[in-house]
Amino acid sequence: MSEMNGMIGEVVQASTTRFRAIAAKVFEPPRFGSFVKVMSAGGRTYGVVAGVETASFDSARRAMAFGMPWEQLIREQPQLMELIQTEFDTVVIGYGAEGSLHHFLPPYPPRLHDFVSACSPTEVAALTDSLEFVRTLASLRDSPVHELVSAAIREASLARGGDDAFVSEAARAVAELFKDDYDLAMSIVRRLS
Amino acid sequence: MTSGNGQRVAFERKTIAHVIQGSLLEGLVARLADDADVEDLRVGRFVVVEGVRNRFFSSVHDVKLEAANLAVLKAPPPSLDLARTSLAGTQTYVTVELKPKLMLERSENEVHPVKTIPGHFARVAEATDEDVALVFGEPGDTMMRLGSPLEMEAAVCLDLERFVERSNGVFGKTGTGKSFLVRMVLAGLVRSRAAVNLVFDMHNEYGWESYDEETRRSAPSLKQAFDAEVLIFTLDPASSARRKVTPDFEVHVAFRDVEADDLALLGRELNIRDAQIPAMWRLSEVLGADWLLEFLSMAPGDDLNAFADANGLHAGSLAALHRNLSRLRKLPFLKETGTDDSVERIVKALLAGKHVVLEFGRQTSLLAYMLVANILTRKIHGRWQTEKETAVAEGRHNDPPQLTITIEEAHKFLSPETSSQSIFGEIAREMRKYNVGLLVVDQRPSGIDEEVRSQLGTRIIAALDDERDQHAALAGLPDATAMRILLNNLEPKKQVLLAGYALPMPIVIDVDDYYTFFSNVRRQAAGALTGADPWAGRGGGSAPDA
Repeated sequence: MSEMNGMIGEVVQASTTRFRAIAAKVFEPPRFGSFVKVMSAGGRTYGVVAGVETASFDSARRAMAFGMPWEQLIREQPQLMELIQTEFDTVVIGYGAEGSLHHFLPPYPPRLHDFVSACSPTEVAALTDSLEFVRTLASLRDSPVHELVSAAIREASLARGGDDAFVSEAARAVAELFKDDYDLAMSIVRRLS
Repeated sequence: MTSGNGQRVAFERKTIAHVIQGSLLEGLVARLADDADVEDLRVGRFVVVEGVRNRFFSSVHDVKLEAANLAVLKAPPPSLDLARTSLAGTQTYVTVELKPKLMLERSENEVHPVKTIPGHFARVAEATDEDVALVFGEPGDTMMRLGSPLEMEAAVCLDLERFVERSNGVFGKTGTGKSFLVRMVLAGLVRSRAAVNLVFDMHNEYGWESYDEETRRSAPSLKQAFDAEVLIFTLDPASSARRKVTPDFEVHVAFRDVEADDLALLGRELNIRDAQIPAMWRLSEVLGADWLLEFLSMAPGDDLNAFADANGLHAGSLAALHRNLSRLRKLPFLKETGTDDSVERIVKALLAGKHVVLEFGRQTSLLAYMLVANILTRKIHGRWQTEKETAVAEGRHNDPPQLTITIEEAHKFLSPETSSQSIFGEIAREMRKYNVGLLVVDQRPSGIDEEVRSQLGTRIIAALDDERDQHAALAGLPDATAMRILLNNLEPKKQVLLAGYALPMPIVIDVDDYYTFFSNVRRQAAGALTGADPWAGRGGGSAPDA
């Protein structure tokens, strides 16, 4: 079971640019904007957590309101935890194979049912040495890009031990990237300080 | 400098910007490098643009803040450091306007005027001391160190041999240290023997010491540095004595030396109307050489009326002229008989290679200054013409020695109305024909006749506020419009724009400290200081004499 060590989720849907995974424990997803990886037979796929959702297993049955404090709810309705799941959505930002690391999309998406784990600080540092990930995240159209980009930069900075120079470099990359959308650029930069 | 050496130097330079557009006509536009600070880039700074095969020497003419996106300007970023630094170089950037003046092919050692421009993204870098030396020459006997480019230590030299080939101008508003600058240039001329000097010293500054209001000490002058090589002539021996100056000679001017044209020049000072000028011509025609004295000796009333009648002059007008010219009797140096031929003494001294400073003492009225300067210069110029003609006939091509005449308040002599009558206008226009040139010192160059100022070879220009004066100071120089921006940005003191014939390209310099300069010149004159750099620049390490 060594491959279960550090496992935080399992891939249930995968495409070249994104994958979805179900968190190993309900209410314990990776942080929004944090860096995760999927170990597959062909190599490692790296991504940034772009959204988290907790809901009922059965899409036909929605969770209902019980109107009681959390401790009482768990005591009186213990089956509830078995009926809901936490899912997270990940944007692919790069991949690695045989000791190399690439800041572009992998040739194949990860396999379904592969395990997802969090990246180590060393891996995050290697992934974010190039600011290409900012561009990849910025190209998304269906999520609040300014939130995602700023969260990812904050996470990277945290993994790098609170690196101010990195934040300032990243802020410049943001300004450059969004040169046609000054308001968006500034809203990201504001979220970095 | 070998090209290999040049390459090495090239890598050590700090990059300031990269060329992004430009033309030969308009100059270059370069984008400031992200790690360069816009506040370090001062207008007038000397920089080098590195093309593929040529290096272009240039000065910074303007610095501009630009934005890639208008939205940035409409809503400036919040005052977060991060926001501002993130925009710098991405959405906001700085451009630098440059005017290349000279170029140097990598394999050569000689600079040429620019005939092309560097390509896109050519590197703009800090100039090094070697660049300055390459362009402005190394200090030497006739290469006079006057200062250094902004934010540099290297010497910018004035080529004194070329300098004296033309008439030159020193301009600047009051309080810019003009007279200190002129003293430095004169000291350079004396030391290098590039020319003999005649200085009409209106404010008693160029001979012996003068009081420096800024440092509150007495500033030494030419006589202290060069002793017997400089002779002080005075119009006012009493004033000289009070200032403890021992003049070499006292100057007198005889009434018979004053010509009608000399007085015509003084129209405003003597209140002479234009209509009275023909009357003076008539007077000198009828009365001969002693016309002025004879005229002034006539009694107002009958004598004058009779004379007017006899010579077809208007009696009232003649009486007015008589009243006005009577003021000349109050000038103490104007004598009824020539007791001492001052002109002859001055000419002799100059021909012997001595330098003459004529102090006016308390005779500082424009009337006295202009009268004396004009009469003496007319006579000396006449002598120089004779000497030159004799020398040419005898095949002595270096005689008589090159003479530089320094005049202050030059616009009084060289205004559009007077320059055609004044001898100074003639000297400025005839250029070096008779080995005589002017050093025109003025705070109002716009008052100088356009034809004269466009003949000025080299200009040394300190700060000038008036737009017309700025235009006038630069008149006749190529790129005068572009250079006005340099003038506009001069510090009020000790910073000048050098441009013209004696310089390979125009440049703004920080002028060397006067006291250090003078103490070096004095020690050299005394034989105490020897070395490669006879002007021992700022870095020379010699303390000024207390």
